[in-house]
Amino acid sequence: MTVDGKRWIVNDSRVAARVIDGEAIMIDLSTGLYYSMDGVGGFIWGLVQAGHSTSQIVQAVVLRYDVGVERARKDLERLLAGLRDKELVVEDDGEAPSLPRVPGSKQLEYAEPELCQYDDMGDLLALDPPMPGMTEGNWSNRDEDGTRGRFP
Amino acid sequence: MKTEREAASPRAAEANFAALAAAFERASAGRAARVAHCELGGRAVRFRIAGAVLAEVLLEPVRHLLCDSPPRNSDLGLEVDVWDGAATGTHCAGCVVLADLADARPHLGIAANGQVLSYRRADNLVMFDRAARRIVGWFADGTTAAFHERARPLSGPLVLWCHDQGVQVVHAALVAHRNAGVLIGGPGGSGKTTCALSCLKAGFGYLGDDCVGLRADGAAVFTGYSLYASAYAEPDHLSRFDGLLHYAIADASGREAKRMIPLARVPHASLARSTPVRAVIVPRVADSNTTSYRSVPRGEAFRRLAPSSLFALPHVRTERLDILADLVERMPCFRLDLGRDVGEIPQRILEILREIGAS
Repeated sequence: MTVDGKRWIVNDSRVAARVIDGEAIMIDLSTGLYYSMDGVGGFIWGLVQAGHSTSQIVQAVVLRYDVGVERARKDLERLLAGLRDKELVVEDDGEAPSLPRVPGSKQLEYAEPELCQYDDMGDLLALDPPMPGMTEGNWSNRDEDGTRGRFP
Repeated sequence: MKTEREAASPRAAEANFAALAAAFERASAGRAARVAHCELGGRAVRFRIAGAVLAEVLLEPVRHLLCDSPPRNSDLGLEVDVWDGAATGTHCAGCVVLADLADARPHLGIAANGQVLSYRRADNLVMFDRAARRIVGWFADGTTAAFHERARPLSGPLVLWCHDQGVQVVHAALVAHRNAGVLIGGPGGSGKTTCALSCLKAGFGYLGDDCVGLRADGAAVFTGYSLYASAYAEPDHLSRFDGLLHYAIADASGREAKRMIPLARVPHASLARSTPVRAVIVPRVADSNTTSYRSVPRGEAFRRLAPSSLFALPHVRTERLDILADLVERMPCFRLDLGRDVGEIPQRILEILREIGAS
């Protein structure tokens, strides 16, 4: 994947996510897996959530953190590839909003963004949640055998 | 076992609901249906149950919420009408051929407009009309009601109704001391039930061990609600709490290893209906003799609290995270490392409440 001004947005059809105190927590409602990123990763996720393009994200990261453009670009490529592979983000051709002013004059120390995965909820989904969720199917109304299938 | 899910046209769903409601009227005609009122999530709920045994089964876990007379708020928030097929001689039919459910997998059906839902198992069928705020249900035989129904009756439709009322049901325990509630959240095995039962034994108000309601009532004001006064735990775990094992009920089918404790039967148990929430605790079992606590980053608290709450809910929507996110951003959050002596847990929680000025 190349960082080329494309836009990657949160896959709302299956992902619920929030950024709390700089930590991004993403929950994949289809698989039971959930993820977190803090520091640079949390900052990037906030920009993805806001709908910014990849080139805007590189620009924002370089402004906020003490990192060169090339390294920021390469790390973002790798991160977005991982998010895409896990279907947490999808490509979008919509228009990106303007980048907000990045706060603070002193750049923060940079660390490679890392996506942490948690799988302890997978068993909960596999075993059937106590209060089930919803998917599609067919509602049958057969009553051929007339035993327990008909009101008296 | 996995739940099978189905969709239906709104017209078909509404017709099925009407047929089930008509069957309830036939089942309860000429019989003295048990009528009970309770306060659930701050709203008035009326139960009409045809079948004495079924009434006892369904009302036991909500006994602490029952009202002696209809609440002053005459705006009934929910009507629940259910009947016992074996006791009344009126069996369920029309909507589904239950003989098909030989493998006992639960089936969840929803109208395409999301307004009528059905929850089906081999031995019961419950339908919920969200617009009418009415639940109607058939149980094959109250004497053989499924274990989960004895502990969390009608949980599927009740959780959805709570959400419709602005009360989010979360996968957490909730206890209170002098009107200061502590929400205890985390995945299975993290120690929620341990914390809740140890606090119960220490005289705290008990509101739930894994399923409670939460409402945001204003800026930084959150109210926690009890839904069921029952707890689930393994027998060897229950033995750590003096006297509770005596009241534990086992699953007659043998499918569930945990025991269920109907806490309304436990003498001196302080069962509360609601409480202001003042702190969030995310426990974890520690390899230690002593129990300790420390402040925890809000992101960590959210990460431990949110996922299991989302997966335990029907009609999962991303906005369900809003109340939980707001809660951890506004309330002090702590991690509680649970040592082997469960008696220390209430003391640590009291210290937390004192630290935040809530006790």
